[in-house]
Amino acid sequence: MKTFRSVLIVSLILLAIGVVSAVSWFLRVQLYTTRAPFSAFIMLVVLLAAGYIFMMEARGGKLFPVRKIRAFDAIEEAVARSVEMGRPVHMTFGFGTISSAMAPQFIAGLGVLSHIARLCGKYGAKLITTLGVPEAIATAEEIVREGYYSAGRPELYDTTYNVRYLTDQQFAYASAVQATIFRENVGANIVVGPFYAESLIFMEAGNMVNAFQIAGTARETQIPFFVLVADYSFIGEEIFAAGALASGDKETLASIRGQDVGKFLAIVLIIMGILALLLPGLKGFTFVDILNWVWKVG
Amino acid sequence: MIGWDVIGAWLCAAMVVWIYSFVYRDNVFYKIAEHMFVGTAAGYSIALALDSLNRVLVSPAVRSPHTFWSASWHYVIPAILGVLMFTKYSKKYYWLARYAVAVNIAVGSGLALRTVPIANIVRQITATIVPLWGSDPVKTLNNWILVLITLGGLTYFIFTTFPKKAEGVKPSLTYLVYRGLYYIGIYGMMVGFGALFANTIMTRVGFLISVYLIYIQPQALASAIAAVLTAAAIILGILRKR
Repeated sequence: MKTFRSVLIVSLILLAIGVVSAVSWFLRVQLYTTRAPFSAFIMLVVLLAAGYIFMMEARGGKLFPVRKIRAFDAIEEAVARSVEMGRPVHMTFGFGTISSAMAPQFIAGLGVLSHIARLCGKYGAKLITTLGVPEAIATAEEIVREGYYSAGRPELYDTTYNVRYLTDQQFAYASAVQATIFRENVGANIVVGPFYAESLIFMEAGNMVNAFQIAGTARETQIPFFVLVADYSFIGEEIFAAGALASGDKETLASIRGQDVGKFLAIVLIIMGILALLLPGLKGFTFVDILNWVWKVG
Repeated sequence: MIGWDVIGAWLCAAMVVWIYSFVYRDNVFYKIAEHMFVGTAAGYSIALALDSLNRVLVSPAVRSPHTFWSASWHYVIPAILGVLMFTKYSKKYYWLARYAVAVNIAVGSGLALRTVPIANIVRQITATIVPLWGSDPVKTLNNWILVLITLGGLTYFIFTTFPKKAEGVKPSLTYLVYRGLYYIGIYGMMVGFGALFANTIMTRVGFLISVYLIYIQPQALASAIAAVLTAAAIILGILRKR
């Protein structure tokens, strides 16, 4: 019944898109850009629908297990080790503005921060969160406070110590984070979010104080630095899975299944496309042309 | 007569050396450079934000209110959201700041959704649809590597559906294909990361050289001193590590 309702809702959404498209065609309004392939729009709709259906199923009680991510499991080890050594835990999740295309990575970083804050509360560790995102100050403070309070250790929470906003300018932020890692002699350095050229600076600072390092980003150009220097690293999309795992929320975990549908779709389309190369083109119109087809309206 | 450009070049050279001195250990010169840098950057950001607010909202609203309210009234919405951010200082109304953050995150996610299906899905798929047979053996091999590593990478990042192998039971074909693609994916990515790493290091060294080229042009003496001090700091850092 619930699946039927989900399918009905998705059908209604698709119907609404169809109606809007028809109206825009009638009014000669350009609804879709003529530079983007229509297949991208179809895929977006399919992925959103898949994510929605799985989240509804999760709400109904279905569980979607996520495979083991070693870097995520190592976070607890890092926090516990810091407590044993009497050193604080450091976490940062990038700089810049949250209202950019990097928002999903910031959200993943905040999810991991939430997990770390809970663990710090559980083990009684000191947590230092350095920020380069001004819009996230209030959220970060709330997450860290919630972590300590939920673990029954409110006395460990100190806003000015636990959450430190530095600046949103890249290398000023990098130099201040580097100095914080070194001066506070952190026992664990956890770096998850969108990072740019500052990634290696953070890793080197952590290495100088022999910190347990866990790092992750979905920015391809910075992954090599993290893989090379950190003890454990999240590679690319693993940070989103980590964010979902950290939240412990069934619906968020179900959204990972939605992402997996996208990957299956990509695998199927690649294999179909390669096989289609064996077939003669339909008046020169190939499978790749279908994917690249642009719908011009108005 | 020493001009501002000379003082600027000296200050710039000194800051580079002071920042580099962190390689040796944390020291007062690094702290001066760091605090100047962070303070200047924070001040610069505030100035930019205030200037933007003035240009976009305050100035047009005060100078020509009629035009503003008829054409640009929607700028008031982000201004209200911005004000809501300050409620975090109130114990009673701190929750209102969440709305501003939520809108910010939603805008960011929306922007990501706009570009990801085209750049990260369709373009990647179409770029991977290549012939796996042909007369040119090098090109064919290249295509096989491209397709296998792409499929392997995609398989590696599948988190929720994965075949499992029971203890003492012969692994199924699905399991073998999955594990094969999984390892092709992870090793292929590692090779790619190695190439990216080397490429980035070359770019960074290029930046370093370009920094010194700047100093050489206005003040040869300043650049020479800066280079010597930097080299000394790096050597000391290496010796300390040993």
